[in-house]
Amino acid sequence: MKVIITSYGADCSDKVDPRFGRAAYFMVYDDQENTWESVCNQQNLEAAKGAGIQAAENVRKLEGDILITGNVGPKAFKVLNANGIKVLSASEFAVREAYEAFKEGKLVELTNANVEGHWF
Amino acid sequence: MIISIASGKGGTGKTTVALLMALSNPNAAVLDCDVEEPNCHLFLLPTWEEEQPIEIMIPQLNKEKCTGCGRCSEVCLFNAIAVGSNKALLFDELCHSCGGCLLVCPNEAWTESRKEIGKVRQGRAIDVVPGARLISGMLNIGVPNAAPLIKANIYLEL
Repeated sequence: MKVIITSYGADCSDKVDPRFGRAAYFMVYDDQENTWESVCNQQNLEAAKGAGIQAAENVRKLEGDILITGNVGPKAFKVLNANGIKVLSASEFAVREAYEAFKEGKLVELTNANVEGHWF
Repeated sequence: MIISIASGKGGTGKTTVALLMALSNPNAAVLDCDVEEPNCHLFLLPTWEEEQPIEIMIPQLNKEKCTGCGRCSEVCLFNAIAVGSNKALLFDELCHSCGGCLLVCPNEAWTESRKEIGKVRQGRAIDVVPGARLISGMLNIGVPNAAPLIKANIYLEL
């Protein structure tokens, strides 16, 4: 199973980035291999529109099963949901702590977008 | 002669200047290109003669032909296409009608469809500035992209 966590930095000691579409990095944890990988999200940070859609596409391509982040907008949520990717909310955690909290069942699942889209 | 009146800020006097110019030229046509909030008609009080719906091209998916390969999503510069449950997912409000998805699909799953984005109305002022023609575009509520309607507003006249 792959768990993807939005992050301010490229290390799992960095704080969870509450943004999804324009998160600085995605940290990818593979629980089979017990490895952490960082993926830069610079392209979407700079996208004019559709950053959430594109970030959701990236989660799909990384074969993420679970996404842990702060806020997800309606378009991003639609794509994640269509791909059966479970979305959990976490903030004020370091990435590694967020993963531990997830394992202990302490994170709340988002059943819908929890913020409005930007622009419209 | 075509005179364009533009400014980067609201309330600077574009409508005022345009209408004053129309007042001084009995054969003038005023093209109100503020398709989000046109206001020239409030002053000219035209009798509307014609109304035309304006459409843009939006791709339509044949789900049976779509294999979820993601090529359309890759090519879309506007992030308007994602893939969900192995099928392409279009967010048409982001679409700029470039047709890239139609070109790259290996299974011809995308075809051209039309979506109305607004209307262009043509009318003639009777009392206020008699004889002046007004061509005014009006964007449908919720449509994010005004540019195609502005172009239609101009090209229908020229």
